[in-house]
This record gives sequence, structure tokens and C-alpha cells, in this order.
Amino acid sequence: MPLDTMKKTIAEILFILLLALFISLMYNTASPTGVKLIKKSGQKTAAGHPPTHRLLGTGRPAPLRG
Amino acid sequence: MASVVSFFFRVIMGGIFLVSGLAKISDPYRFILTMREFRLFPEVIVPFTAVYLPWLEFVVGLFILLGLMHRSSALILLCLNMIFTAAIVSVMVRGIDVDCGCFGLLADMLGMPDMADYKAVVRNIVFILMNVQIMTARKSALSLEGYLRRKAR
Repeated sequence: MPLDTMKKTIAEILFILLLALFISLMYNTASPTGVKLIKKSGQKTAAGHPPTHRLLGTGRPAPLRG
Repeated sequence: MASVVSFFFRVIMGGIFLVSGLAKISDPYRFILTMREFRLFPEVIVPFTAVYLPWLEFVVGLFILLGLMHRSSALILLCLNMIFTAAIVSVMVRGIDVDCGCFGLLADMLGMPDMADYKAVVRNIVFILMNVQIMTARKSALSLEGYLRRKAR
């Protein structure tokens, strides 16, 4: 295989792999049923449900910020 | 003749991977469970793979169907099929009876058997041969890349 063709093929493969990576991460972030990719220590990661924030020791929901 | 055969193989491979990618995208949790059943991958990379792999299948399927960068897409599909085949053979050797997970929700909807057995291996080998033909064909009929190249001249 000529060097130019090999370079072109490698560039195309990288482009496709990165395109798929970009789309998958964007979709996963935007989707309400997105998979939690990074598990923080002590955090319950039930499928699709955001962690419930509660004030420590009180059992009451924490006030919303922002 | 080879270009027409390449076109038919492109339509078959593109269609199959486009649909199987979409079926897995629609239910990532099921795909995570299937991957865990294979007991091949470390737990850390399972969720990431379950998010990434269906989209890779979808993008590659779309590109191969349209005839855009179809040789590189066929090379990626070839590698994917080899990995899938190795995973299925490993499960068969270890005697684990699992769902193949190849078509996700679609297998249930159509009532197709989707087990990780010798039939899945044979199917993957046929896919590999089709990809080799797509990669090695000098021309492929009705490809977007060929059309754009002709237009540029």
C-alpha cells in the first residue's frame, strides 16, 4: 500500500472514531436516560436517577442552589 | 462487476450495523447487562463501551451505506467483527450461556434468536468476508465519495 493511501486511511479512521466519540458523549449527556460514566465515591448511581441531595443528619432535602 | 457486488455488500453491511446500532442506542442499560454477562471487560470500561460502541456502529454503518470513506469504514467494521467473534468464541469455550446482544431490542421485537453460539460466529465470518470485499474492490457503484470525486474534476 502506498504511503499516501496509508496516511489517508489512518486519518479517515481517526476521523470516524472521534466523530462517533463526540456524538456518543453529546447524546449521552443530553439524554434523560443517559448512562452515568463516572462513579463518584459514596454516590448511588441507580440507573437514570439523579442522586438525591439531603442535608446531612436531617433527612430534609437540601435547598436548591443557583 | 466487482463494484456492483461491493455496492450490494455495502447496503447489507450498512443496513445491518445502522439498525443494530440504533437498537443498542435506544437501550444502553440492556447492553451494559449483556456486556457484564460476557465477563470479559473490566467494570470501569463497561459503561463507556456501552455508550460508545453503538454510536460507532451507527456512524460506520451510515458511512458505508452512503459510500463515504467506505474502505476505512469497512476496515473498522472488520476489526469490530473480529472482536465480536473472539468474544463469542471465548464465551462458548467457557461454557457460558448468554444472549449475544448483537441486535439489542430488535431481536426481541422481531422474535429472532440472538444467542452467542456457533451461528453467530458463522454470521460474523460472513460479515468479515463481505468487509474484505468492500475494502479490496477498486471501485464501488453508487458511492457518494465517487460522485464527489467526479464532480470535483
